[in-house]
Amino acid sequence: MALVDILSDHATTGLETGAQLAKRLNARTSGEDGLIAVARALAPLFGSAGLERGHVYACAGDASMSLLYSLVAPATQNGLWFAMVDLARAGLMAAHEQGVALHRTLCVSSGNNASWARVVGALVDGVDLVAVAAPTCSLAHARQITARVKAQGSVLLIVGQPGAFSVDATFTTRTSEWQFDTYARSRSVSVVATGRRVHGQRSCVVQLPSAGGAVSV
Amino acid sequence: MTRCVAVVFPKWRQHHGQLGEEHAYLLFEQVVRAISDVSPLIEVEDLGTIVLAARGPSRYFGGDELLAQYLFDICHNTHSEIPCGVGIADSRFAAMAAAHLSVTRGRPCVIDKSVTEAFIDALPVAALGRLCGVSVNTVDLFERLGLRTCAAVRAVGQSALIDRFGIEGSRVYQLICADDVRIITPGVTPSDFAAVLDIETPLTNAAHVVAVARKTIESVVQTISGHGQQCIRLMMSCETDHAEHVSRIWGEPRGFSVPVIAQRLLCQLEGWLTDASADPDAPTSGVVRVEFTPLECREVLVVQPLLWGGQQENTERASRAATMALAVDDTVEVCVPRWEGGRDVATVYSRVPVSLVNLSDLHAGEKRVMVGDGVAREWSGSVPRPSPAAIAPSPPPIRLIDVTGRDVGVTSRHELDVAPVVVEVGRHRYHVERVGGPWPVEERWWDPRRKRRHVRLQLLVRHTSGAVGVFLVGLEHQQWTLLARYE
Repeated sequence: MALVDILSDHATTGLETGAQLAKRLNARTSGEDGLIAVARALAPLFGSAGLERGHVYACAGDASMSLLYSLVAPATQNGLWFAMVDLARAGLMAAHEQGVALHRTLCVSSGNNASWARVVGALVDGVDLVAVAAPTCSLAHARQITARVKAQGSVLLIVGQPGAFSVDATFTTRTSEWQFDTYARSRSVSVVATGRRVHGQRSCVVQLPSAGGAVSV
Repeated sequence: MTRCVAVVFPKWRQHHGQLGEEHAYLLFEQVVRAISDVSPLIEVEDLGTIVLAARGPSRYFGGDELLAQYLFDICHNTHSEIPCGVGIADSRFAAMAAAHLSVTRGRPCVIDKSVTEAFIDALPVAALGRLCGVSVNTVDLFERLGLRTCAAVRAVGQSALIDRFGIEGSRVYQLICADDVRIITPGVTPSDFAAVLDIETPLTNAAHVVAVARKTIESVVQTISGHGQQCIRLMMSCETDHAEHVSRIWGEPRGFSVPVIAQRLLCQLEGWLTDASADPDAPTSGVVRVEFTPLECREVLVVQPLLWGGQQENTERASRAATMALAVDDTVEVCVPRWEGGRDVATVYSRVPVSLVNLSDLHAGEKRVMVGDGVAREWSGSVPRPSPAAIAPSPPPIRLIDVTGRDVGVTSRHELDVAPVVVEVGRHRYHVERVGGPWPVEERWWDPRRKRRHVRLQLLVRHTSGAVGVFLVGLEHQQWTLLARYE
């Protein structure tokens, strides 16, 4: 056990053992067929137990921001980067409490509508997870961005109305109950996944946020 | 040999480092400004360390002792809570050692020319590592060889040192013989890497100058790195339209990168481009010329990237994407979060422009966002966890009313005077089911201009459509606002 600890220490200083390399390559090849793992509580929403690279997702409903954080949190902890475009209202403390690695998070403001599509296009080229708020771009721009998302294998998450985008799956949240004694502690949210990539109806009920901060069943 | 003055604050980073390196540099700027009055060219070697040439100021003040005492008083008056030291000696190494000695003594320490050699001889070899950046391995080896003082190392002889330690050995020998390796001179011979930026319109804002100078800084760093080197000492000079002039030498033991130079330039200019009412010596026009003169470069420390990139690859891709997004338009902003603390949910994390940080330094990134600098601390009066997921950038005014339709207020004891029943947000009406709080905050009550008194309240509300939600509302200046939603 001690040896493993020493070896994992080495990984942080720039050295890597053969076993770690094999593990990382394994993770990479499994990433090639396009899966970004999500928290176990949210896995029932996906046929493949994770966000698929190259897809466009939408989060809607009254817990959309919390759902967004809980979807990206495990990925950012595993080394992927996350960008939020024009989400000035994002509560970063809540994101931190739900487990988003803020040191791999970019907050982007696109300035004006004209440059929005180019900014998002540039971001999906290099950032694995890009979240945007209610896009108002044209159908042509939406198609271009979707094509870039597919080509680069990143994931686009839309908070609110998807506008001209053709969405692979939409997660609709609805708060069923707040646990509120002297202050708000946690809440139960039912999440329903619909869309052309979802077979049948997939849904789950989660604590979002739970008393511990992150998402739980 | 150049007679040097060293001013050190050994504990500066510990005292002021909680809010990040930039903040610590901004505070240090006050000291740098105060000392700039003594000499036109001073060198900020690192955070908390300043070196300047002694000859000119010493003549002006009537001797080394008076100069040292004057500087010591300046440091003590600007930052009395932090230990500081002033040392004067015949070489940079000796002056730094004297300054550290002066910290423990609590008075300035001047080493006379005649005793400088004896002073260095008595220093332990560990001082070479601590003060002059000689590598730990070399110092360790000296100690294991039984060479515990500088005198013992000198006795080994120059040729033996060079034979065994190469360039570093030669440097060690120069240091212990009080031969300066780094010399402070105003008339620097221009190096191949120097760059000059001429600005057509005089700029009076420090941030604007930095933005304009960014391309030049990038080209300087690129040229140097193209030679497989990195700059560790850099002189930056700025000139205004009215020929006012400021120059300063900056040191960075880890090597200058573009954001680091930009940040130092910002520090230097913000201290200088103040308005005339604050400082009679302030420049009377905008900056038209910025000069970058690298004074000392060294081979780039070897960096071994992980095989097939590892997580570093993701970071580099993200960094490139951020640069591309910034290049789209001037109005685009790319920021990274930084933990600030406080009770206000909107300002717990601030957003720092990505141009001022180095994205690939993940360690610094983790430090930047670490809550409470890694210490679990609850701010008294803060809203309890979980935090709201959606925060209004500009909180809209709302009405909070009781059964009779009267506005709800807060008593001087921070209690609600009546129970709220309805919240009106724009056209929407929500029925209040439960109330959490209130959490009162009185901030800076001693300062009439900045004092702030407000109350936060958590409301469990139900819309007429049946949807439930939790709002965080605030009362300030008799007006309720919707601060955040638990979305």
